[in-house]
Amino acid sequence: MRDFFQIVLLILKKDIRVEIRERLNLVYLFILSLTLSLIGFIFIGSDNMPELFFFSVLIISLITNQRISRQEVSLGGELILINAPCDLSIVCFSKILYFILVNTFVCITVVSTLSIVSGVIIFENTTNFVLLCFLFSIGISSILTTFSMMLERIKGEGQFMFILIYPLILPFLILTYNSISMIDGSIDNDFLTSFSLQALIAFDILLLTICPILFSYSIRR
Amino acid sequence: MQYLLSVRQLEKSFNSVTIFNSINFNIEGNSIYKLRGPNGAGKTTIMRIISSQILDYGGEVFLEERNIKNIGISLYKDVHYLAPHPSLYDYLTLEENVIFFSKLNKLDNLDKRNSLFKKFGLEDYRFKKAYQLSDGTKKKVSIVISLLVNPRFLILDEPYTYLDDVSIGVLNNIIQHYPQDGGGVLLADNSTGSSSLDLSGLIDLK
Repeated sequence: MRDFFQIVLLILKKDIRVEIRERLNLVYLFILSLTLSLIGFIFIGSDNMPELFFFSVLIISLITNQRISRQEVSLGGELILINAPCDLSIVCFSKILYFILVNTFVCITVVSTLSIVSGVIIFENTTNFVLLCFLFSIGISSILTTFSMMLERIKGEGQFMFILIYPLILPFLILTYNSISMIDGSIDNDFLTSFSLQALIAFDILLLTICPILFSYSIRR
Repeated sequence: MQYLLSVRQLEKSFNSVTIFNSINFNIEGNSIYKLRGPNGAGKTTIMRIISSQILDYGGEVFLEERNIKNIGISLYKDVHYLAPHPSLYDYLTLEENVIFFSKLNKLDNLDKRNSLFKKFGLEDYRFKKAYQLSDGTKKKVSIVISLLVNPRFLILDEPYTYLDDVSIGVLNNIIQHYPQDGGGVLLADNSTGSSSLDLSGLIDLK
């Protein structure tokens, strides 16, 4: 178990160091969130702002995730860590953790940009908002990281292959969508005990467990 | 006789195109073998199969009588594959790259690292980021990482690509003394880099 966390921490530290130095993903992130915020002008004052927020995060996640996975690919077109003498599920788990960090950053950037540009406070209940963002990040990071790394490994047809996984993330998106409407509309207790949120937590646990195993199994077997 | 590596009836196809079939060879311990063949003969594919990077193939590969499909993760400590192109993280320095891979392989061999840096003339580049280095220097770093892993069976795919004459001499000297305690080296090379090596045998692919 100690080995597991040592490797996870090692890869996580490496990824953060690379990101701090390269900053390219952060630039992409900022430009994308600004662009989507401008589109969001259409919905100013409407009830669709929270949905627009999560939709923006989803699109940005799809793009930044594949960029991040591509960093792991060397000139020869192989994942650099493929030779690592550790279970590839650990590598995948580290990448998922890293992407949860990136996704949380995406959420903060997008909500800030949307609020500043539109002058509308999108979510009033910050605690519920942060919780939902975190749960959303876990699920979306698990699925996207696993599939984008698998696509890099099998040299899939780039970003278009992502279309194939839309049906898989659909139930997850519906649950998030249902939870969004409850963030501000009810008291905290209702939000926490709602079916959508609890199903979302169950989905997260399931994805976080299955995705690294699926990745390891599909790559090495 | 127990061989270090045995390849039996190996065959591989990509999209129903057969790359090679019925490949058989044995490699004994303390030896250096060269895989020889024209472009497209399947040298890299064979090496990647032996290092368990390709798992979809026909036939069997045994490392000391153990089928590599049954060895598991520990195979990656016993067999290491050096790719023709250097695999480094561009935004990490040379030293950070080496330390990262050393820690990943649970190695703590500072003396050996420093010695290899000195042999390959990498000391002045230690704190330069990988994208600032030439292809030759990156290749030398990849070689250093492979040597630090110190596997029983070292697979070198076009190890002389990008290297200058001095570095080729250093690498050949290391390869020549590498097989110890039953270990071995398998290399593929289309240049003249390996001409000065005292090879134990050649494996010809048609």
